[in-house]
Amino acid sequence: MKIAVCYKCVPFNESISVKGDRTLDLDKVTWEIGKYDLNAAEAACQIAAVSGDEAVAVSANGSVLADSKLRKSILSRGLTQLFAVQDDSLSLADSLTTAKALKAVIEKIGDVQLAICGEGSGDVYAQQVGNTLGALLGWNTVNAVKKLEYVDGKLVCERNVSDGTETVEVTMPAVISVTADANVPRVPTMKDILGAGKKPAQVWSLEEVGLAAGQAYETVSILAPEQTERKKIMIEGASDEAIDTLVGYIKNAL
Amino acid sequence: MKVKKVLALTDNDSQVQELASAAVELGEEVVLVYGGEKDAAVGAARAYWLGDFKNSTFINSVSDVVAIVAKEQPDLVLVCNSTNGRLAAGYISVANDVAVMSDASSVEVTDGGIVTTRMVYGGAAIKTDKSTSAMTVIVLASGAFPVVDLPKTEAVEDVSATGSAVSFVSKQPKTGKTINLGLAKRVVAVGRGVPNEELMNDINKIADALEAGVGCTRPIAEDNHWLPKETYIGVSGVMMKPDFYIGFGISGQIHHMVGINSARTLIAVNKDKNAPIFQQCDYGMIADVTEVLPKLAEKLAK
Repeated sequence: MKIAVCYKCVPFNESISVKGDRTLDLDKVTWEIGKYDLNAAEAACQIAAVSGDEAVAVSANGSVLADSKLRKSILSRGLTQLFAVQDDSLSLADSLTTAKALKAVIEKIGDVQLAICGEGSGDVYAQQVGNTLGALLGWNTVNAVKKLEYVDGKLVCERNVSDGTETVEVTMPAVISVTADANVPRVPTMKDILGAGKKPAQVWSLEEVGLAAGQAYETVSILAPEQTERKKIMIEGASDEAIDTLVGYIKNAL
Repeated sequence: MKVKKVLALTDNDSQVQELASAAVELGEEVVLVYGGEKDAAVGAARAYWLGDFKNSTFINSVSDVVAIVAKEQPDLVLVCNSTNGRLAAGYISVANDVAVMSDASSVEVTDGGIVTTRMVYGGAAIKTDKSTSAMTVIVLASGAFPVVDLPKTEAVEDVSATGSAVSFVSKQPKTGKTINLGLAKRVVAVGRGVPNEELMNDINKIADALEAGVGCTRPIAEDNHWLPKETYIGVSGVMMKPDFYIGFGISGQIHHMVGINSARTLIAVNKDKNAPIFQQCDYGMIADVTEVLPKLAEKLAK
């Protein structure tokens, strides 16, 4: 069987510049694999090493999917091949639309029994795609997994909940979302990166996976936050006098 | 403007009041679906209690929650931002073919639909979305609505879990009190510029003197483990609208600042005079926190 690692290439946040009208300039951004997705890739590879399965990359995104450097980047992390659906409408799609596209890819691949997602994408970070994908597929779904083990064909998941940590056991097929502290993602070697260039990649259009472009809700705007006016009064050093001044400011502000 | 009916959903009692406060603000009628302590229900006309989840998992109640939503047909499903809340939101979304609007830091009911805002690109921008579907599903960011006193809900119906998707193995309860930093009006925050854990003593003394909550940046919680994970401020952590913020050893990365940039007063102490936080503070002290913290703790304790 195959283990699908869902990932998304996102703009490196610090490369985004803001225009005068508070809109974002995404033309010159650098792109990267969403950093939480690296934990998903690592978790999949660790299970594949035990179960003897094949971990593959799965994505739904816009034209950035064509970037060969980014393809190499994801495939250099222990994954054997890439399957994706590409459409501009998917680059900042809502979680339902994204999950539907991922489901279509997973079903087209065929023998996937396990899909692993990161805790959230690096752009919107809705933390919703894994849960939505699991619900769509009708598979067992566990999120916020900080420790994932494959034992006798089952998955033992330690997950964060609001009042503690719970351990649950699930059978496959399943969709698991892992947290950033689930593992330490491997750092690819030069050999891994060179080898990644030779790995197969299959990219379909929305039509080819049987979907149409659309969004579940309307995006009104994406704007940089308005800056709050601040006094910017500075004190230098930690002399007793300086501390007294700071205490004065603190007390006035309370 | 309000919608007719809001269904508020939380897996835990510590988020009931905050969620119900928002629900009362947004809907004429509020139905609560909750877990945790049974006597925690407030603000709703009726409530469904899912259990305390001390020896079971919420995951096996998700299908029951979906069934309650189908029965109640609310205009708006308001979900707490816990991991279980998010899980249920995904299933509700699929059952009703609507996308979850997650981590909404504001929600407004307008003539043209329900408008939410959320942060994107690590806080570089605010995305405003509008839902016009018959049912809207929102995961609410903490601190989005003020918490108000609400009457106790008496009409509570027990709902036993009928799902069996996963087998519950065990649960390790969280030690210590659950902190809801999002509700704190004052916050003392710790960043990587604080070089050792002993200084947390001074931080705690300062927080006590100021009657403030203690928060931090993500590395302090996730790498240093000096503070629990639910106290890191910013993207993927706590979003706050405090009256007062003082940050020690915090450089002011956007990921952190988005969590507090609407603070009424913002004070920063950092030895690096080029730290970005000094461009966004009301009062800044360029000094070594190892010198400042003990002195300030002593002075404020008086």
